[in-house]
Amino acid sequence: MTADAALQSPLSAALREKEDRLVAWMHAQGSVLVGYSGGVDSVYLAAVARDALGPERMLAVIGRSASYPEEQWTTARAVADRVGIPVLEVDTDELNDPRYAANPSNRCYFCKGELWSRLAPVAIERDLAVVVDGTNADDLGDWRPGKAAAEEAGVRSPLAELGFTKAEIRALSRARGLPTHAQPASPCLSSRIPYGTPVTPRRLREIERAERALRALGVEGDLRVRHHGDLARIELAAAEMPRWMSGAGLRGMRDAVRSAGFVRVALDLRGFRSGSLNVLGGVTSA
Amino acid sequence: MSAAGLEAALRSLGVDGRVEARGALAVLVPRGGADALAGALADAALRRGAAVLAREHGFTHLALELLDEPEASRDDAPDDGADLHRD
Repeated sequence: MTADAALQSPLSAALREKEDRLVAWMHAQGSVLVGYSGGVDSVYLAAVARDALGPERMLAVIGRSASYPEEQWTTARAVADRVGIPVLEVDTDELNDPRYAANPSNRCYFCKGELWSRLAPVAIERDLAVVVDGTNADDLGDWRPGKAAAEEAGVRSPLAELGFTKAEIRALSRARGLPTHAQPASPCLSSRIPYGTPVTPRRLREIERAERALRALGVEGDLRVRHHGDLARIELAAAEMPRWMSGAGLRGMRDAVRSAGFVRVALDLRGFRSGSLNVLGGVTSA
Repeated sequence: MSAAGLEAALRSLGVDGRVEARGALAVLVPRGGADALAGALADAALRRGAAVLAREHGFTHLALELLDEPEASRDDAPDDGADLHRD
């Protein structure tokens, strides 16, 4: 099913049955700690866990990292409050791990290793049986070195295990009235820095400021500002491109991104591509 | 990868600019400033065509630099293919 079809059609019996299997999976665990980012997948997973197990036998935990924009956590907390999901926040410190900061192509492995090493003790302390994350079936085909860290830490991925695609999670989220159902993906800011270029707090803040300035200008949908040293490369959603391809539109974007500290600004002519820097770095093909 | 080859190929599409190679990223520095190409590149088919040409010349990405003035008036324009990664 395409994303559009999943969002526009009424919930099918097959999809409801799939959610029933997820509820049964939750019951079989007894209690869960959900690695929670406030994104589409983890919000849906936490909402199902809360409904299946009750708020006493589940906990959503935010691993606060400098590699995510501050707004991410504000939004994650607001969504949890609105949906009634109990939340705990813990700090993570992957930027001080030189293996992560060097920005190798398996950078996510070190980030997720740090995350799960902080969350696993919380699960033990709270007597929660299993730690789960929001990895879905579509993610399994991507370059995701962080998945290995999850597996090593014993983290389970029920959405992937039960075959939930992103489109199905969006459709089920909409049926539940979750505000995240149409939310664009929001990977960490480090994903905007080419492999081999060190991840530093300064570069992360430049990216964060540039993307915030573009949002303030009115850019909608998927958006990435890729960091190429002195040059920022903007990737816009395909549907947004026509709106900005004018002298005034381009000047507005240029000035917004320069205000974040970049000297030069460029607009990618193909627009947004998930995993764009994997392609640029030769990790995956175009 | 051939910045000069891509530059000539883009010119044949009516997209005039200097191509700067930064690894597999080609940065198109428009000679008349970004305004000069904005109208033409509003056409999705032309953007797709330019991206295809970039791939044919060995680049995975093609980006239009958003200059505040025409390229010809800049006195710090580097040579083709120069490594400008200064960070």
